[in-house]
Amino acid sequence: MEYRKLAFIGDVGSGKTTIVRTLSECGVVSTERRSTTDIGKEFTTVGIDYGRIMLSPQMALGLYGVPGQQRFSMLWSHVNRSLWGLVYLLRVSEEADTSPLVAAIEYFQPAQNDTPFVVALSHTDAVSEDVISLVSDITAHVLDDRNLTKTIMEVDCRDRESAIAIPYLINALRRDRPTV
Amino acid sequence: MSTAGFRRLLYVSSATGDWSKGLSSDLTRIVLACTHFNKEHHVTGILSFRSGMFLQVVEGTPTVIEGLMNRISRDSRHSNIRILVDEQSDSRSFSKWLYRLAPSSEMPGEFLRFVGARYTAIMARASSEDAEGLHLFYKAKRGGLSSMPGVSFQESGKQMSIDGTTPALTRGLDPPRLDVVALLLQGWHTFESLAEESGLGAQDLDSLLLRFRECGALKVRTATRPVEFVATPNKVEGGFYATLRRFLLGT
Repeated sequence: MEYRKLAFIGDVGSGKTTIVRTLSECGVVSTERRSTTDIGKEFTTVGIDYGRIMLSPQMALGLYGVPGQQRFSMLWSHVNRSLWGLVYLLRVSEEADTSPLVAAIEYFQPAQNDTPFVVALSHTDAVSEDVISLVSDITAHVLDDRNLTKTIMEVDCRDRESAIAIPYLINALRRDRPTV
Repeated sequence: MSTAGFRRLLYVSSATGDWSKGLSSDLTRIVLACTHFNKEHHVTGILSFRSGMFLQVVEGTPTVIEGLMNRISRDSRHSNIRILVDEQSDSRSFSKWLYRLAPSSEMPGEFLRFVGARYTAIMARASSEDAEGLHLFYKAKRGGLSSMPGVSFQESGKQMSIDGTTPALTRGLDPPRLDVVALLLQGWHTFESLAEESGLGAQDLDSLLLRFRECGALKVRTATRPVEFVATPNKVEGGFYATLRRFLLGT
């Protein structure tokens, strides 16, 4: 079986569960639970969301949605082996915080592992272009400081066409690399 | 007494607090507040951040810049402010930049030209600490952001690449254009190699490269050696790359 792993890491409400559902071809195994505090939505992910794109009976792309908070880092170790691609979902707002992004970079080390790494900005329809530019600029700073390629794009996690652009770009970046 | 309409300052400062973990939401709010203030008071310039150091260029009317520097000097989130350029002028140098945060590896051409023209004078009176701060953001020979106004990329014979993407750069791009993005992210390509590898038509490719240039993302250099493609197992029909690509294209 040729199996690849694409991980979506992100903070609460960044769209991990939604994008895994949008891309997956099979029923998603979700670990959402009713939130006990006010986080702006009723349910939140407490474990790994899992979906899959079956390309043939012998070939599949596994989709993993993983909480971005460092207290869940024990879950990170479950996906951080032979990753085909890593996506950090960053919800854009005037309070956007890039500290969890830094923690994820330090843990997953995409440059050292030669893993294509994309920062996908979500919820951009809720803010002005100024805020999108600012968060993109700050993200570029964080990646630049760590000598990472600054691959930053926006995504509407609910929209299949928008969501598909992420695995498409990662696949294109993978084209001339050794297979995982 | 000078009758100049604008005052322009370049300074570097040290961030206080632990910035090693990246830029916190606190800074997002600071920069947004700054952006709003500067927009309202017609202050132009740039802000950049690297390795715990800020660099800022601000220009506006003398009264506004005076008030702004008073605010900045009272801000406890950075310290050790060193002014490297303080000058008056009849015109703006950063009129296109309505105050933006610029990644330190991609400082805009306006900044490079601005510092380049004053480099000797700045260095003549800069302390070693000042010089070190400035050199985090300014290197004399930056990779060419050269523009080729009026010349089609197809006819340029140049090689091109990009250091990164932004939402504005990739918004709404279809798969063949995303292929071009991936190729440019991975290294230098000629127009012909991009066309061949992406399958994009010449006119569409030219428009796309123009868009990248307008976003300030495209790096251009004179070809030093031909682009070489390495055949890898990933491209093989029936392999993972080709199968996933076909699936995502819906074909």
